[in-house]
Amino acid sequence: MALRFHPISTLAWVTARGSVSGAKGIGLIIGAFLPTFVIIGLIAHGITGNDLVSAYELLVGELFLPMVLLIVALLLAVPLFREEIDQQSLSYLLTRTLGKPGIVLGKYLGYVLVACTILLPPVVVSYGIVAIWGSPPAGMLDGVLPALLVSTVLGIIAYGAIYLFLGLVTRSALIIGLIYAFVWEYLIGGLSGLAPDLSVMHYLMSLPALWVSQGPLSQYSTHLVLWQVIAAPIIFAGVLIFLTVFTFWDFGFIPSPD
Amino acid sequence: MSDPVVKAVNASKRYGEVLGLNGFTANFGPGITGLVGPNGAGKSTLFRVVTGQLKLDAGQITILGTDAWNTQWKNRLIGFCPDHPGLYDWMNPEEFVRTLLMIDGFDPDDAERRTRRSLETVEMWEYRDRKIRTFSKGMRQRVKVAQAIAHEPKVLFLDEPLNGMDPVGRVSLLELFSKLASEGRHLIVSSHVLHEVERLTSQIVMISNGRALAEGDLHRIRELLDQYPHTIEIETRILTDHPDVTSIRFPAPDRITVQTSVPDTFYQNLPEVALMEGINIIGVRSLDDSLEAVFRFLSR
Repeated sequence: MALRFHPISTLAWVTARGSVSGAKGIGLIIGAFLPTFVIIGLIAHGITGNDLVSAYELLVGELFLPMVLLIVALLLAVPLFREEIDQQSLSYLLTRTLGKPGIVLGKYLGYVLVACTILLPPVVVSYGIVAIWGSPPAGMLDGVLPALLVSTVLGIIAYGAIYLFLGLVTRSALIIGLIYAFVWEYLIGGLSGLAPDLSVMHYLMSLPALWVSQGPLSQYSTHLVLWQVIAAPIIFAGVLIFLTVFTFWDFGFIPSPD
Repeated sequence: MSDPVVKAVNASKRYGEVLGLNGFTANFGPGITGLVGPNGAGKSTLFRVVTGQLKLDAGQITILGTDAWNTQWKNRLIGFCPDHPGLYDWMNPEEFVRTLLMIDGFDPDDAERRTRRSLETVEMWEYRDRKIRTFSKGMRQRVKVAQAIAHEPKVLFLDEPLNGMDPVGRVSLLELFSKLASEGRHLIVSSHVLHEVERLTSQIVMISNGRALAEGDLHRIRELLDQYPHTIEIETRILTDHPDVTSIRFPAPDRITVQTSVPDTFYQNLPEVALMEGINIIGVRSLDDSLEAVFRFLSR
């Protein structure tokens, strides 16, 4: 009861609701289900068994994690501060007793809540469709669902933190966020040696590789161990949330004089 | 003398090359204080600093004796009605006010009661189920005032609160502000529409280019300006040879406007002169005793 009505949880709930109000919410949900639609299309064309499982894992590895997850996180997390700064509605929160760390935390938790609500169901539904109607070979899907769920949650946590920070500090957060997503994450992630360790996606892809024993997801090359794969995105998010609070603490948000 | 509610000493805030506040020094309150100045004078910047949204580059501003920056606990004591139109448009006014109260730490039942009371006070309860995005500017202003008063703050900062209001709405809000002041709350009300502030209070702080031009009682400020010609409109037929009159204009056949450098002496002598000269004076009013005129003097 107390937690339900705590100021931070109130802000988190309002943030979550506001993030998906109107057409934006519907668009994000449809976008998140893109891989699911492709899976349904493949089954409708008679593709089943080993081919379907391979296609499903490729879709998750090449479309869902590096594209859908990144874009949904970007579109949800950047506006958390940026829209309120541009519309100057942040003044309603700043003149409350919640405090700036509470505002950052409430907004971030609201984002995590809504991002999980949008992104986890497609993972479960896609898996369910492949498992039930795809006639997968025995053992082919072992460990896939938990690995993908954990990877998705870790991605939500890490990418949300960096986009939240960008939304606070720059008006060009969407563009910089896109550059980060598709230049940094792709370029760094595609390099050899230790360079991919600087990319969040490397950790998200490493987890299924460590957890799944067969199929395309298991073939991703990584030198990391499981605890590193789980801890790194969480630490990355924690540092960025701290940085966001630190920046916000000393931040005069008004964009221009009256 | 009572302690000021807000005290600013050499407060400066710069936005790049633009000065929002430029060594602003003034005291506000208790009671209602009008913050008067043209658009771009620094009124909103001052409010943002006082309410802890902006950090000063130099100087100090205290509210109830506490530094305004990053002291969130004091926010329960203040209410802020911003001048910008931004609201959470996807909410209805009831959700908006209640949510802000709960973010402020009020429990849901208390928040519900306060929401209803504040929306009723600004006459918006009947629109509680309508989305804010469908509201007119005047209705949005009322919602902004409702969220500012819902937690019954001790000090209210109202930035151009009558902007976009219809005449009836203006009157009801002005009455509300007077009532809040009579309950012992302190109000700082900004406006560039000078007669609005004049209707609320004679205690004013005048601001221009980020500096305080004058503060205190409007009429006392005017007394300080006696070195400037004082303009008085007299509804009569003649007063051309009065020794206190330095110039005279005839804006209408039954009306003259005179300027004097000794307004007190002029007012004192006027009845006697009128009696002796047989001048029928129907009315006298000081054209300079409006904020607009005082502001023009001070800005020169």
